[in-house]
Amino acid sequence: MALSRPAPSTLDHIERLVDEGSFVPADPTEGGEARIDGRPVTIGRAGSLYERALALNHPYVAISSGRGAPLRGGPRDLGLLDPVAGMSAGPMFPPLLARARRVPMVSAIIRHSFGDSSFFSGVCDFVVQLRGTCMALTSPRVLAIGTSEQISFEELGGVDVHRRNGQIDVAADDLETLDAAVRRFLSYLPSAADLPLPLADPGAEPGEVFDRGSFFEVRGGYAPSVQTALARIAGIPVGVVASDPSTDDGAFTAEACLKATRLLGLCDSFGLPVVFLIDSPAPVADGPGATTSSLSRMLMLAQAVQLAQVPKCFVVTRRAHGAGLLITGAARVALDLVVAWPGAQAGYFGPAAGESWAPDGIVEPGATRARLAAHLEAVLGAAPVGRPGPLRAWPVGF
Amino acid sequence: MSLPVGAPEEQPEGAAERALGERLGDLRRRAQAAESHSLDARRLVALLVDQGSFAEVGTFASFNRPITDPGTPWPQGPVGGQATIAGRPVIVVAEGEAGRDPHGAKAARLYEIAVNRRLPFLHILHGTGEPDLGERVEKTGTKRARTFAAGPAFPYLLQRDRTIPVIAMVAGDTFGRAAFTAGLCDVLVQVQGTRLSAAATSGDPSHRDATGLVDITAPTIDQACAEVRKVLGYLPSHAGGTLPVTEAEVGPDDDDIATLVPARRTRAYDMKAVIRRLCDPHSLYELKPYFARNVVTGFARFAGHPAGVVATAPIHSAGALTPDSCVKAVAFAALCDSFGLPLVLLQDTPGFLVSGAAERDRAVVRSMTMLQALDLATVPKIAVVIRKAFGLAFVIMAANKSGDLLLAWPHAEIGFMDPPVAANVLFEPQTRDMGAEERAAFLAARLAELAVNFEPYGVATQMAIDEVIEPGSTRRRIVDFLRATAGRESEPRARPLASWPRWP
Repeated sequence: MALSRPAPSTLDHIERLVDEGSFVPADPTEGGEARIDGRPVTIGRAGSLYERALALNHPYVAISSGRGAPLRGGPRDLGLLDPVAGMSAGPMFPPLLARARRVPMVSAIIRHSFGDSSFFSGVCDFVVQLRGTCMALTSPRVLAIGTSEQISFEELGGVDVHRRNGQIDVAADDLETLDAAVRRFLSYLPSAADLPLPLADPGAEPGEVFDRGSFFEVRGGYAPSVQTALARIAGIPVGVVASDPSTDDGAFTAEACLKATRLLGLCDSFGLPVVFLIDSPAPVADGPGATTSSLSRMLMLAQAVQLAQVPKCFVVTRRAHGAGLLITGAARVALDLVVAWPGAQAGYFGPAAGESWAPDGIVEPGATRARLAAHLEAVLGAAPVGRPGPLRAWPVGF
Repeated sequence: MSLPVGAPEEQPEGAAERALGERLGDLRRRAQAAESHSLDARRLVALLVDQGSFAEVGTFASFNRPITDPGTPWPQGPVGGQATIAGRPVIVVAEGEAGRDPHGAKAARLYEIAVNRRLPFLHILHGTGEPDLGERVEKTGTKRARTFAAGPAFPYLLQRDRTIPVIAMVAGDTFGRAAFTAGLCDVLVQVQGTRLSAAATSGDPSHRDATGLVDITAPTIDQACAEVRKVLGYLPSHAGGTLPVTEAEVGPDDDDIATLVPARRTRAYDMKAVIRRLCDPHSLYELKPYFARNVVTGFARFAGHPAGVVATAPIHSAGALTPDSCVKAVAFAALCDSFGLPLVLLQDTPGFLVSGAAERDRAVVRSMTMLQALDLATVPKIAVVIRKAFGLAFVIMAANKSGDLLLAWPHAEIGFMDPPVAANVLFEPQTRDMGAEERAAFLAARLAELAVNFEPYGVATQMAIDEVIEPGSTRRRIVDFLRATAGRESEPRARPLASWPRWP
């Protein structure tokens, strides 16, 4: 499928994404500094100017597109014939791999993205892809020549492939949606891991649990039995991991555990508290055809919960069985809150007689938001500054 | 508070002590003759450790049963204590009857001793553990953590930063709490025919072939115990400890080794045969040998020095990297980085296996994670290009040039893409309108030009590799490297991968 209309050039795209008139080029073709909702960012072609963002200690936004470095020619001036051109540059640059998530990193895929520009999306904190583009290690053309596999751009690495396998956070149907997703993601995050959380109006209109309109789902099409999102409670940005009993009974499947672990890594790196809404059924054994051990992934998530130093709140809405019990059990006493709605049940293999896992008390559903807000305000203080936690050293993706 | 009344005066001197000794002996015999269980924990321990070396800890822990009541059969809970394996001290725990130690208190106590004294921890697993909701607050080291009764050991394990090797063995069907150590240990051995899962199951997947969760399988418990002992033979007793170096000679250069590698660039061969010729005889010990077989991961010794080997295997999918093989290599690199085993990287790969299926399986993210793991690992790293090395796979298997020494055999081809594919891709515009014959001739000529640039000498001009070597000298090069780097790390060495979660 062709793009519905020609995508703008990288610099044109930067101009339309950032606050009007705020773009200051640092390089005539690569990008520069700008503001998004009044806050500074470095923005450029994927992989370039990244170190400027680190030096300036603010987010890096990559406009991802490209055929891959090898086809661009290289430093030995052999042009197309250089066999190792570009193989030590860009995203393979060691600081990128050792970045330990010091600043938020975003990849906006606006055109086909192969080779090194795709590698970049593999290590980003947030990836949004425009429908019609393809992100893959290698293009369909090279695939056809190298392996005889005939496959379309969409089938190889289109948004519908990556929203199901968890390699992108948001699939954007148009450029407006894409730009809005980038801006919205950054609105929940501090400018850098050691800077203050961006607090919104504490008197925001309350929704069911989160501030009305603040729920921003990420990786929605992937492992849908557990939702992950960014949201706000009384103006405080939080990460959300929520069972969705309408899909697969809300089970923490192997992939759902990886999805939740990924969100936890993001939040622990940038100091966002995490709210778990748990309605998790008894563990189900992996079928004979399984290629991933849910036991192993469940323990990976429990380990992430235990290691993460950001405040975590667990609300057992109905059932804390299986992984649901495992992760609430791994909560820390000092900063974490574990509450349950009335009648909620706990037990690893299923309801344990008369047991409710609510060490910090039972809350009425309608009082949940107030309880969470009070807890977060108490443990965070008035001007919470991110304290990068140990998960910043974990891989970004799995 | 009243003290126990002393011995009656009419008893002869020393009788009280003898009586106490007899009572201790009686109770110990009764505790150790616990009711028979399908998998007798005490027998499992005896099978694993050096004969006569086991000193039990927690013999009298009966978990709330009256220990002195002669009418109650003694329950067999877990059995554990200190022992030696090949003379090296270890802490060992074998699980007992399900539910006999609902809080996992014995394993927790022994794990604590192992961490504090920096001794390897060996855990023999079986049974179904029902984690209960009993214990709410446990002190765990310097941190206070809320636990449920997966056991106080559980938060210890979750917080593990791999300061000691934890080797687990699945000796019987293992579900629930009993399975948790399996998902958190450093090396996992499974007895074939046993089941391992989050919940009881009748048809679980093969952890050997399909999930890769298990590192080693063995047909019998005896054999599994032998495997645990072998694994320990390659590892230090704790992170930062000295590696167990054995006596072995370098020997003369192996001038025939190159004959193992077919000259025809697309012909498959057994990379393990090459590794076996490079390392000390019978010292290659593979982990996950049946999972993601296009990459070989294993321990080996080079003139007695243990190291971790990661090699592509041209006999499986031409040695192309797949998302699963990335996961396998990440797990192994993290193990080696945690315990200070240098990495020996051997590559003969056409590149990343590109396909629709691989992209759906997260090729982008997983290849980046492998790149990151091999790049960040701070153990000494030596890489050798045996025959082919292209594109992203070359960069990954050369540890993104963070390796300490990157070598190539003289016939190696190194570049951004397999040259025939590259010629087709690069010159597609020129050949688009040509006839088949003309195109073939044109491409052959361009390919010949390209091939020169893919020779290792061209690559070496840019120091993109450090040295082109005679194949026969490879073993000597590796041994020299391991000897030169042994014991020279900064103290304490940063172990960036030690905190990474267990894979896969």
